[in-house]
Amino acid sequence: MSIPETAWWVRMLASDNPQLPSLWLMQMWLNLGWAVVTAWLGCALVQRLSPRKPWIVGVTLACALWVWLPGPYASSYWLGLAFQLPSISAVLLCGVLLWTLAGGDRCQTPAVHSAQWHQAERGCAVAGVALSACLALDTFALFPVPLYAWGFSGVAVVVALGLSLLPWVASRNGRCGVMLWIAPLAIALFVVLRLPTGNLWDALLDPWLGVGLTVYLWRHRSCR
Amino acid sequence: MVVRALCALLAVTAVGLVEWTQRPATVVAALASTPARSESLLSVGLKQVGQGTIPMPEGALAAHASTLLAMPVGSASVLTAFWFAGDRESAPNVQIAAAQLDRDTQRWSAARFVVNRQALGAQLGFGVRRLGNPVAWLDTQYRVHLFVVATGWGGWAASRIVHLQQASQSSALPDLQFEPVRLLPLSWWWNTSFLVRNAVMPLQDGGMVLPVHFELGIKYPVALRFNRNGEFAGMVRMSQRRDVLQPALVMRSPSEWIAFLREQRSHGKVGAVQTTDGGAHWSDLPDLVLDNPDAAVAALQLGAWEAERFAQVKEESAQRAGDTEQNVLPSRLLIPQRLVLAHNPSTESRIQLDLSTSTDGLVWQTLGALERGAQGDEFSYPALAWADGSVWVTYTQNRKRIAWQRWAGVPVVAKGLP
Repeated sequence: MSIPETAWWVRMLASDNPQLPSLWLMQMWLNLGWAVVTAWLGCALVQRLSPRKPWIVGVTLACALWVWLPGPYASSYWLGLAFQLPSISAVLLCGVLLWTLAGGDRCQTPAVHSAQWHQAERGCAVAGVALSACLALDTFALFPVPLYAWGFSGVAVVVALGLSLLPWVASRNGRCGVMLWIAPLAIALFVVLRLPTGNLWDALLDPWLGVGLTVYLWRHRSCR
Repeated sequence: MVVRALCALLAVTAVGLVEWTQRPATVVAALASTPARSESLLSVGLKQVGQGTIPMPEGALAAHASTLLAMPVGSASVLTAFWFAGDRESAPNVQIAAAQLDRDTQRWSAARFVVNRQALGAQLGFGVRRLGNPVAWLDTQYRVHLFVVATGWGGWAASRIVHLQQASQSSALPDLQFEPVRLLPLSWWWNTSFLVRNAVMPLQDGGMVLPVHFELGIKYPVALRFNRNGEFAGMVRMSQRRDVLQPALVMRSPSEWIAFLREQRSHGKVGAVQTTDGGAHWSDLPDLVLDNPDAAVAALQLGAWEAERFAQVKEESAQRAGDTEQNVLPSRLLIPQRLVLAHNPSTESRIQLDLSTSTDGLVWQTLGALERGAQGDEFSYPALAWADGSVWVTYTQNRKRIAWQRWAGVPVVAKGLP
């Protein structure tokens, strides 16, 4: 039975009309995403071991280029096998962290804002951890509603974008830390590219990012 | 702050508009169509009219998890069977094998491998550790789609489902080639642990519903919908239970469907779930009385649900002046809808495999034995299809080969009808 024109809100609520990315775009994201993530991991690790710049640059570049090798020689071949594609948020976050490690944070935030920004960042981290817990429960059929399937609906995108912009709306003078723009930017990229899987939650958060946010909150539990 | 709030509202509205325009303007309800157009099968019984084993690919020591695809009437083949074969289940050299039943000679072709994990990994861009159960479907353009279990880091619990599509012009076995469409996005947890096992249920819009299940720790079934072009169109959990898997899906009417499930518990029975709104919502049914030794079942419905289509058929017949079809309409209306189930009728082992029948999916009668083995034998993972006026069954024999049987109807004339 066809309904000639479905009500707009039914179209937005429906999770049975997902827009999925094409395979070639997913392959590009697989390499690009893991290149950024592994480059940051390599950079962070080598900075702890050796402060010499050539080493840091070399390892970072090597990690970033390793994903582009053919077939099983590429790190992305094995990372994709185990963990599929990284979320847009994780890639953006790793990109920002990499930029910070490379010295791009010299013009950082005025101190007057930092307390408020860190509070907002912690709020976002709490939201991320809560969402990842709900999605993990949903995976094991322990969540009362089909949360993952809702990630295919249009309304989930709209609501998530609205919520992610709240820290900016509520900030003083409209200035907030770069970290707080990661979620809105991830959603905007998702709307355009549908990466990594066509499901909003996969774009916003992956299990490793959920773990990372939990560790962040644990380490900053006393920073009030 | 007001300005920022207005800007945020503007951004949200813009994204909402983009989302709205990307969604289809109409919603098509999921209405099932019968895969077994068995109008000629006015039968009270089915009897076995043929059996044998399907040739194995050269060098394959083990075979398991066959699935059957009825080919179009104009095709040189009646059926295509797909299964996985290699040294053993979950061996590194396991590939997806296929063979076709020739329409003229009624003989199975030599088998060949059609999906290889190394080639699949190269096409996907990331590794595939092992290959498992395949399920095939023919879309409205007669392209073969193949859904294959492909594992990540781990065993079957780390499985994902790869959607492949026919890449060759021809679906004849020597030419048949597949290319991956994508991995189906089914779970946030690194997209594990979903598996496919049983055949699809076709929809009237040309799409289909693919029954799958989750099996990391707990087991639950999920119905995936695909549109007429084979594009993924959503997922719905089918049960609140956490010990049932491998749903075998059939229709009782276009919007009323029932699925039979393997139960993972000792002294299990065949589980059942149903929907009455075209798969939008599902509810658990009491277990059937049929025993189940934690083994896969296969189901198939026979006969069109003519009551639902009566008005449409009558109108079409009336438009054809002098069409004798009109005369047979009443008898077509009375064709019973029958369900057929292939299952292991035991709580202990897979030593026996039976074929049972039912009109409502709840009360079952044994039609006959597919296999009665000796101690140590195992007959498992049946698959059913309707083709060439018969029910075809394939199943695994002792994890070494794929056996087939053909069951044909015994025609009778219904009482009181011309």
